[in-house]
Amino acid sequence: MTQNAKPLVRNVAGLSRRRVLTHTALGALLAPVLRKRDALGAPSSPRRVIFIFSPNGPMSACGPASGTETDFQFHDWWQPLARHRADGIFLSHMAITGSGVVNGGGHGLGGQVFSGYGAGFGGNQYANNGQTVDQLIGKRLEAEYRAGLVRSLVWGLVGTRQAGGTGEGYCAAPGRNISPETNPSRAWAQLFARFMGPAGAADPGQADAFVARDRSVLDFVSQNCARVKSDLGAEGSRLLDDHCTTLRSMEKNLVSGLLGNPALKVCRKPQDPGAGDWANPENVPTQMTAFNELMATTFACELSHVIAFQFGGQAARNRLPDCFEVPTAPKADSGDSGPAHHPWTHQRPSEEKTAAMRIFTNFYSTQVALLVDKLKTTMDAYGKPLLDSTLVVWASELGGNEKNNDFHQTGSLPVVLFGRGQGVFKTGRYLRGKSGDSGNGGKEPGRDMAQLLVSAVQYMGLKDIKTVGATGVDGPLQALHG
Amino acid sequence: MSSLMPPPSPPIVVAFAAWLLTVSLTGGGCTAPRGAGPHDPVATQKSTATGAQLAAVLDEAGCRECHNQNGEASESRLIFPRPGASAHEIQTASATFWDLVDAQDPTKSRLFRKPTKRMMHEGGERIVPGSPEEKILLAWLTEAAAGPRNTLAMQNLMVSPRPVFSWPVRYQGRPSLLRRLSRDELVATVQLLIGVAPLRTDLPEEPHQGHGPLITVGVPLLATEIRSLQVVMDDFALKVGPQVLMRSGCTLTLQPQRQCLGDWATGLAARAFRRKAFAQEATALHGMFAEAGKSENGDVAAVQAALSSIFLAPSFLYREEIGTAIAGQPGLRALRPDEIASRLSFLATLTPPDDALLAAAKAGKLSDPDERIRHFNRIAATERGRKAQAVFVLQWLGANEAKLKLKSRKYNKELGDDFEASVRASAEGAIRQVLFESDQPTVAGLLSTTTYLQDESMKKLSRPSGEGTQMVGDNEQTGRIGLMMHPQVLAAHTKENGASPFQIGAFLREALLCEPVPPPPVDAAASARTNEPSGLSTRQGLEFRTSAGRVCSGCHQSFAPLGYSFLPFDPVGRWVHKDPTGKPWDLSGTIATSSGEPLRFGTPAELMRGLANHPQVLGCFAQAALQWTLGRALVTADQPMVMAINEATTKTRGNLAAIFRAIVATPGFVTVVAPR
Repeated sequence: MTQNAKPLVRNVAGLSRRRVLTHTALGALLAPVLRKRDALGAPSSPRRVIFIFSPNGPMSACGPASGTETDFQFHDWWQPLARHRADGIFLSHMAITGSGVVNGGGHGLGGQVFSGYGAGFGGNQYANNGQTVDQLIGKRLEAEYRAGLVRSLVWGLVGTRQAGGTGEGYCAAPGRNISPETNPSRAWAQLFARFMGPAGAADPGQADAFVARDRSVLDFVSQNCARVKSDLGAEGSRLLDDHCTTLRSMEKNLVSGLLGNPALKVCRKPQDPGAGDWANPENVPTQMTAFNELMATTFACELSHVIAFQFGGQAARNRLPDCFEVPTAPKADSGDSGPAHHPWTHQRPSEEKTAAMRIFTNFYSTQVALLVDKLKTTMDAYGKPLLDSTLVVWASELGGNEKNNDFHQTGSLPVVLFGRGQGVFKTGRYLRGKSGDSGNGGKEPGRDMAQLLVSAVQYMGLKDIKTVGATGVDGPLQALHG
Repeated sequence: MSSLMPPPSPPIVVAFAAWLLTVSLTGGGCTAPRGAGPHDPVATQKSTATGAQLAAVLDEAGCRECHNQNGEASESRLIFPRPGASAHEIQTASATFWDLVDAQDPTKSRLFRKPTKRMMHEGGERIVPGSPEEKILLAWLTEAAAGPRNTLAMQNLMVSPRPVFSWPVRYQGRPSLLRRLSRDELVATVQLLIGVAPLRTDLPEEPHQGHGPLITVGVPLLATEIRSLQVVMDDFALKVGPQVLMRSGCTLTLQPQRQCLGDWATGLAARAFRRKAFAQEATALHGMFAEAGKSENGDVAAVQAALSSIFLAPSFLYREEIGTAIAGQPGLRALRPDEIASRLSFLATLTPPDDALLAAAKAGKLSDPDERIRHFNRIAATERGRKAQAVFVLQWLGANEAKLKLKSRKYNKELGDDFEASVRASAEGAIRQVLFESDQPTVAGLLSTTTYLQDESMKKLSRPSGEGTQMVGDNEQTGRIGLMMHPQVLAAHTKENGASPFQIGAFLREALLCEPVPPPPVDAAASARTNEPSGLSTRQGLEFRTSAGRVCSGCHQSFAPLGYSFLPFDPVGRWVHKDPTGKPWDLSGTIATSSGEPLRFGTPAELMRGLANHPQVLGCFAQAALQWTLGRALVTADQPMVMAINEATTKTRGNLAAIFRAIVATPGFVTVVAPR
């Protein structure tokens, strides 16, 4: 690891007219107008974001790259990303947002990496204390009628879940970690079963029938939801607001999703990935290919602008097909063993452990690189590559270093971003965070990670949001913007 | 002075003191602080009634969760002693506690002003001003202020044993008026209503909160779950539309299709929603059939729309238990007759009320406990009722999900595709045999049954095979007995590889003994002892690694011996003949129990026999039945119901039907605790 890399610097933001305004009461009044103007002033493509969570961390390596900001080399494990060097920002030595900022530790920090809240809700170390930013963004986009058909999606591979299913990477509310859709065929059905691509548009009668039928169903269900909510009084507002809002949104999006969607002219309905044994590790590459395809098509067809993906939940016992030749881990102190990711993280340093860590990190890197390929080659409704308007953020709950003996290394965290974000982010750089090689990283790199999330949130047009979770940060990570 | 709980009888106090000794000698438990030894006056001092009530209030408010040495409020002046604290530590803690009491004016006490958030409190408002809980707090403070400083009663409050029942009761529930249908309830209900149902595995899984029955109260569907459910139910409606149209009977009538199908859908909605369809709903459903009768395809499409509408409606997906206000009891609401019928029917059958029950509700008969019991007996004896009780038992055992397929392939590759289903059927069969065909339909029956041993799926696992350290199959040492040793249950508590003593041990301590095991500390793995000496058996190795200090060993002591007795079972429930180290299995252990008598065992079968009749297990089982009924963890307002199940389970040695009848008969069954 090169030690002379420039640490992240917290820039002092310039006091622009807009920034001053949005800090004032007048700003609060004008914020919706300003947001709208931002949207109008921006290039035509809507902004999109994909969050990717990989479990367990690299454990035995510091991060994706080393060197200086512009003269850097990729670590062997992350080499598949090298072909997208110009389009990414590669960070090492970050720390979970919770580290030194909010409570939690070990894998329990996993959900925090995208939320900034502590873990331990209801006494469960894997249960998050608040929502992740994909949910935050999705709800706002929905409220502002710019979410597309679905405000946000949570997909993933099958990794063994923690007791109670609370260890997923994304969270909707305190203690409500989200079980991702792991079956690409069902994920497809949610979005495309009724989708009228160019081929379907040839039969407008059928589309009209679908719309009429779905509208009558959603009308009924929405009215019923409003009634139940009303019956429950304050409880109804607390518990059913989101349910009813989701139904109303589904209803409103019917037309834009099925008929009124401008992307219909160009985007093609993908094939149903079909039934498959998606819990079988041998099918993981096929499953990933299907999800990568779905992510790109979902954006191209303007069906959603926010996708959260996880390679597995916190501490997932991820497996790969036999052809990857993952060595078999002996029984670890965590009680598990076998050719899986997690039991290897609980082994003392050895060549075999390094080999196993390399295989998993390399696999995740390969898949992220393939996704970026897909985003570069898929055009949106405005004739531009999706990557022009899509921000990809990939992080894990744990970090690592070459001599790491800590099975829950929460500092030295690798984070990778892709996409220039319509000129918002300055890519082609390596940034070294403020964490040391070991320990929990300390407060500063945790703060930077929280600010990175704020950058993602603000990129999606939520510029009034300056902090995430309970981190207390105030503003984006300026270093990302060059 | 009024009291919601009876004072502990002398034998229980003595027994509890003996238990305290055991816990203290074994390094302390992980859960509620237990105090010191038998001669310690703290342990034997009888709490005042107000003190017992306040202890419950503090539990429910979650004070102890933050105000402990490692909690978020560890820097505050109020610190509840750690588990297994010495008498001196308890005295010191309670002396500090006294500093929070204003003897001149109890309402100015920090202990009063902080939790009610009359002054800044990081933990927010934990006790609502004006609530019955606040009255208990103030009454206690007034008592304390009038007495001497740092009394034994105060020390007792700090350790909060409340040894009233044979099992430790915790009041940490969150009441709500909204209850989500579980997947089992949804599938059973749809099956009942239209004769066919979606696959349970296709439905979004309910969130789990630790071991024990599902928490369905106050748990709304997430947006992702709603969308997923929409796909499943839409797909289901498309598939079954034609056959449901046939079953509606409308295709055979001479009356106009439109009216007939509209009426059919309105009737279906009424049963699905457990109430009469509102006029607006009936109009909307009739509207879906506006074009009915013109073509069969059109009729099918309309039926599909009606099915989707009804099965995606919140009135179907949630059970409302709203009730009406009860004068003088602000925290309680009286359930309406239809709500009582619904609660009773879902408890007994996982499905909505039948016509007889609805008629009883309409006639106002369900306020009579005998009438409720009569209906419970009637519907619990049906096939749906038997299924419901089997599902409850599997929930209690944490084994209601398919887990075998998640194990490493080396364990299940030769078991066949239908193995998971046949194991589930075997478990359900064994439960039904105990509950409905044996003379011991009790906890003891469930934990000692052997009827499943002859099932084909079980034989696949128990048949000897392999050699050397790979030799598996039941032998003389196995003594397989009871549902805990059934592969359906074992697979629910094992990891995908190797043995899982800590997982099984923690489950037994939490679900069968009702003593929560806290999650391991953040640095648990890092603090494990290394440099393990060579030549240790698997168990010795685990004991060595978890012996790094009192915190590790004290906590592990409470659950690990339970799990060590299950060491020979592999992830799918096969018995492995030899410890991989070549050493003989050591499956013996001793655990502390609330009876005061330590439970000693040499094999898992002995452990199961010991637990099967243990009062703590019986009580804990009854509590699980109560939580299953309520769909949530307990709150202090449930104390009368807790007393009722305690009595029923003591009298019947844990007879499930008797426990359910006791619950159904209590006044608490016809009320709902209002959320704060």
